[in-house]
Amino acid sequence: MRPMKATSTTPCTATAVSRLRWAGLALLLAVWLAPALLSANPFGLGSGGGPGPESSVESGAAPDEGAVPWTTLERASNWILQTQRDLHRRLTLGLHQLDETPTAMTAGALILASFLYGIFHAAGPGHGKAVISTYLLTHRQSLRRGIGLSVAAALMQGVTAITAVLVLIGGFGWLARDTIGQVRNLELASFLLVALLGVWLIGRGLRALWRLHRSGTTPTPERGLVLHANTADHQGLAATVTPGAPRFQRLANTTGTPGHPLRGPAGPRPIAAPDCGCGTPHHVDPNLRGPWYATVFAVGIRPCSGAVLVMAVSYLLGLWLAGIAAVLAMSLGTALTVAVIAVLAVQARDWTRRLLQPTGWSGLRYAGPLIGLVGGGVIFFVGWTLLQGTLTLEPVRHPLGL
Amino acid sequence: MNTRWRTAWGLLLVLVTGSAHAHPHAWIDLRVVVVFDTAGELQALRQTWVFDPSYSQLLLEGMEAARPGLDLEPALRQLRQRLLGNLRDYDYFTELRRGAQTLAIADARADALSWRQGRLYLEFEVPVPGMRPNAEQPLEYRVYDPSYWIEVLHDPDDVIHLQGDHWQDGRGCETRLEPPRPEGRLVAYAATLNRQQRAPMDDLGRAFAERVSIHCGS
Repeated sequence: MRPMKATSTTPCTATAVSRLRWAGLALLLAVWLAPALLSANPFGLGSGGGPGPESSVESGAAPDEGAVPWTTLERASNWILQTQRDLHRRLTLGLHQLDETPTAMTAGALILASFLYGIFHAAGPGHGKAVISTYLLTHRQSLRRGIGLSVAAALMQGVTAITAVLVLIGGFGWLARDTIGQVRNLELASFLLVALLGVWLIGRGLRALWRLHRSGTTPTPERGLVLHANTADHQGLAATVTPGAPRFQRLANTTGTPGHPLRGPAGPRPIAAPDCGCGTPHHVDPNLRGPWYATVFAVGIRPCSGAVLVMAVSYLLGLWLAGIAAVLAMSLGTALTVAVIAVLAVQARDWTRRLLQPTGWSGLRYAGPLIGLVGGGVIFFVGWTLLQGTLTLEPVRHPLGL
Repeated sequence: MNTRWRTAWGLLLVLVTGSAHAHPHAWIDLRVVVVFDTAGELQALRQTWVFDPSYSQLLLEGMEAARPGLDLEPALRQLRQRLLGNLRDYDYFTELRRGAQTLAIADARADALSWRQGRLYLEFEVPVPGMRPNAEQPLEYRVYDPSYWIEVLHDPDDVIHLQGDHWQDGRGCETRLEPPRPEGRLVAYAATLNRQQRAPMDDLGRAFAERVSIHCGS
């Protein structure tokens, strides 16, 4: 991540954006570490049972002196377990404390616990993050759209959880424990959509490669210009490369807003200026909205099970408003963590691109679509594996009935 | 493949296919009383499982539960019979060992289920073949959900009681609780399990279980 250098070499990165990157990253990392610091505080619930090298033994028994010392890895995983346990209990007990004494204090504690739970739990492995980071690593997106992607997906997961509970329990009068079981179907839908997204991205990559290949076989003396020789104006590109002009012109018009193919969805200012050297010929608008929305939808349709559980129990307790607030806070926490990952993915891609670009390697122009192709393949693999796994694994009823 | 490669491969798989918000999803605070008879022989493990408030709520749902003033007795009786009936097939989540030998778990007795302050208390007694475990052959027990769906840990606000152990002068019994030491690989694995999955790996919960050993002086 070298934003300062970026401002000097590529005019596409404004200073403001680079400052935003640093500040954002620092903030996100700070928030990420917060649960750890909080769980270490003496006012925490501390109901974790405290298994750990230092934890005291019960019944006045002597500590096990001959025990094998804990390795660093064991300590690390134990810390993760402890923190997870602490946050989970804080969240569950927070909900029931609100039920007993509904005050602003207990409500605030519940919201805070949900938020921290969201941050920490999203830091673990997850298929949503795998999909998002793969997509961002292999498809060029501006930083802002990358962050937007993770936030939108996380918020949609929360909204799905809220909707599922309100409709199934509130609307159809289902039992909460049956509703929790139905999350499986939404999971299946999500995995299927992820696999389809992968297929789509593969198709896009193949199409881009095919077009490149066709344009490459046409004898054009200005072939290098197809890449980035023209850095002043994207629209000028088509004009410069006269032989291929009709095709480029047509594509530019079909993929983006006519005249402004690379303009971002929100502001009047282009998010990624057209002159960002990306090694990708601008056949396919990389900031195209289709795959972005598809990714948000495929990831977001699978509600986080912790959120469903909290929402279902709040509904049982008659605290559905608190449940909604808690789930949204949890989604915001998740969004923060996933945004950190998105920032890293976008930066890693930018960095690689900048590293490779000055080499002027002619094969580089195939790299963009090829990487996109590989990314599509990985995303397909993730979706397909999960779909297979979930389908073959029949849910077994737990002996305690939930 | 050596261990390092296996770990790396496992971590890769976890990163690719994992999903957050994983096991465990509920917890039980475990309280144990070790019961001795008048001859000083170990007779039973009396267990009390205190379910977490959310799980308690969900278990009683649909039984006109959990609201003050209602007669809960019929619902509790029905639920208790169902829980213990199902748990019988799982040895009441209890593993008993003496040395290298695993002891069979007999039917539980003296069971009860009650609702106190928003939590369900399930009590029962697992009989133990009469014995006085010594330091060479201590009696060990673990209580855990094999699927690691529910985390069972000894209640931090309670101790393991020894009831009826009247021996004195260094001949009394002691208990020792060892915290679980799961491998990092298993922690990551547990994190990949979806809510609906019941731990395809057999006995996953065992890696996260506390081990208690009981031995008496002679």
